[in-house]
Amino acid sequence: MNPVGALRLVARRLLIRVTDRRGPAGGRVPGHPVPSRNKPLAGLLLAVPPLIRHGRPARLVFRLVAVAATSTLAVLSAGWQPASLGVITGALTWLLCTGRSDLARDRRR
Amino acid sequence: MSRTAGQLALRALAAAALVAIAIGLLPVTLVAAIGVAAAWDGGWQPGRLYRAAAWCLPMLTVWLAATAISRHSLAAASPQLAWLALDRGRYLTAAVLIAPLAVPAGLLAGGLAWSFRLASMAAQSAGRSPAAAVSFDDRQWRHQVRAAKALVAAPGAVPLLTRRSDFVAGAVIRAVRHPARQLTVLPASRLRSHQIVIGATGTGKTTLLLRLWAGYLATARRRQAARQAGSPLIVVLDCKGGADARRVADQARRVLRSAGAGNVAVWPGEACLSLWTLPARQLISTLVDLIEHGTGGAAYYTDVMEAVVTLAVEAPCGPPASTADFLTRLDAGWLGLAYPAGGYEGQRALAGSAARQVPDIALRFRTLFRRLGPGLDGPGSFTDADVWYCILEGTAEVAVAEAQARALVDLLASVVTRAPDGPASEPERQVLLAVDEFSAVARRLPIWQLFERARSLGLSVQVSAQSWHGLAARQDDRYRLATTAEGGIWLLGTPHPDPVTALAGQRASLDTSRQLAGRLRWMRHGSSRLGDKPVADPDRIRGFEPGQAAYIHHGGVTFTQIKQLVPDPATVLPRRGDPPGEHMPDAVAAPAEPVLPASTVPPASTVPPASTVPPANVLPGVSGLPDVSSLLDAAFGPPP
Repeated sequence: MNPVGALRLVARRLLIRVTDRRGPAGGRVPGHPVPSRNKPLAGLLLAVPPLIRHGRPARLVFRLVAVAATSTLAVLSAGWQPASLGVITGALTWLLCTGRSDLARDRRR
Repeated sequence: MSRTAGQLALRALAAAALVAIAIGLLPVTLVAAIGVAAAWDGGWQPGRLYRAAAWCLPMLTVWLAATAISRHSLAAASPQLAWLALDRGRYLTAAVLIAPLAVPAGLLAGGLAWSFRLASMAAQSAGRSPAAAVSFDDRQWRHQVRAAKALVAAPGAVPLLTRRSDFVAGAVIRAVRHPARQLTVLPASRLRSHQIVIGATGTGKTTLLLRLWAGYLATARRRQAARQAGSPLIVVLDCKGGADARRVADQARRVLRSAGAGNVAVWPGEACLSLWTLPARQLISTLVDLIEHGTGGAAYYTDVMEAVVTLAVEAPCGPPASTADFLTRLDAGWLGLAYPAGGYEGQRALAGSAARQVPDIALRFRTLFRRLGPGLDGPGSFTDADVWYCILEGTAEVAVAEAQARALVDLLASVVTRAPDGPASEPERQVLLAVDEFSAVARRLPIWQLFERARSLGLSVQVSAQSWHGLAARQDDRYRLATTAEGGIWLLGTPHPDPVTALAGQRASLDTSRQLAGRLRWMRHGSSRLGDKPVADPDRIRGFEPGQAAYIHHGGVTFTQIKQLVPDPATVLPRRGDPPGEHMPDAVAAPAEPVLPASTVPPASTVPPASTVPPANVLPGVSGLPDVSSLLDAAFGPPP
């Protein structure tokens, strides 16, 4: 089999898959890109800094400091006990739940 | 007497037991107190404390798992260790050791205590006086408003759409018979139903309308991308007109372009529509309706006019293509020549018998089209833009605005009912018709008729007015509109909200009376009875601040702080080199000069020099727009 032809076939199939995800007539609706299902980890990590910049970074830093301080105090005062591990988990849960409100995709919205 | 003493003793005993338990479970009590204070300050519902307690489950799980691993038993020793640490004065260690148990238990207890407090206040049985419940409710309202404003101000906290493509209007202040969420979320289908918006000037009605339109457009774009529907079209009829309408049109353009509108046309200032694209039968009906008729003996002239218009439109050479073409046809000589002998005897006879009235009819139409201006003389169609903002001068020129409204509605109906140009499998367009203060131009086209017609065509209709009375001229029509608004009613600050709040219905509530024990002293004895209370409190709505709205739907109400949409900076200022009508495709951009028949154009001597005439499409307040003379020269040739 011709390897160049095979490569072209594969490329065409891939292209079809990509355009299929985009909806009608190429699918690109202005201003509304169709979200891809497979987001690589690096892409996710790269998306975080703009979220912080558009959100409320000062509040987020305050939350991070609060979590760090609580965790440090828990370990320093009670040692590595089940309770201090629980407190650290609780602080991290609080950060995850409330820290989202300090992230924003777009500052204007 | 002894009975009262016994009751007092029992009450004292219960209080002592409660205090003992509170001291015994001091960490739990402390967390509960903090939770109740936070709920009071933020105007929360008890559910929020319960949810916070549920979010402590990971902490509890890790604590139990670590205990099981380290001690090979689930019997945690932390409480005893905490008491020991407290005894030795190591308060921080004690707090850490007891936290995994005390925090969730305290939040749960706080939620229960707050729930009890709210229920007793709602029943008017708590507080020093019966009026305590009222001041408590007012205070809680203020706290809830503050929390909602803070949420709205937080960047990214109130998106236009959720991930499920539901529309978000703003932050919830308070909900009655609606889910108590943080955000006012409406299913996208609600935007595709008929809605009513009522709000006086300066209450944030425009902000809400812009958000609703942007939400409609964004959801429609997503549906289009998923091939569930065709492309969106929003037609706004601003029936009041004036400088304010142009400012709103400019705002709408910026916001809607940010929301995904490819082009936004402002009619008639910057874009045109063509009345002459209507199918011949519809064109006849529209043209005849544009002229105001009398009744009684005037019906004769109406019939003659209809006959002449029919002859002019259905001539063998095809329907007229412009105003000038139509006015040329309103001539007895032209009609006689248009229908040649042999095959058109009936029409020739009709033209002959109506020959005496034709000049009068021509005069009326000439006057009408002069007053209407070039906005309906094309080129252009509703399909050429995603959003049409149509400004009708309903306050300044009622008769003209009425005729324009009639023509625009007929044009839209024609676009909607016309078979799609694309393949048969092409999904239907999603059309929203938003009419603001339609009652100003509804003399000849009643609002309910427009509503029913739009419903039958499958359009979504959004009616907005400054007051309940502005919705329609007659009370029956207002109720007819309000009861068919399946998408809900948005009520902003208005002095007379009672008819609308009555539509939300009543809810059962406890009405408690307490015995007066002395001057400004009330006993806790009394009686309660079940009464009715409005679901949407009219007094609360009368006191709305700008930006607050009540969303009434299915017998419930959500008081909302509306989030203002800020347009994309890229769309705020025109790009360098863009002409003022840069958002318009060439097909719909308003011509530089009005296209009128020669007879209606004033003589050259009366026309001021071009340099003194302000460009027709320059918006008030927007100065320094780029020079478009080169573009006009390229399109129409150099000026003579």
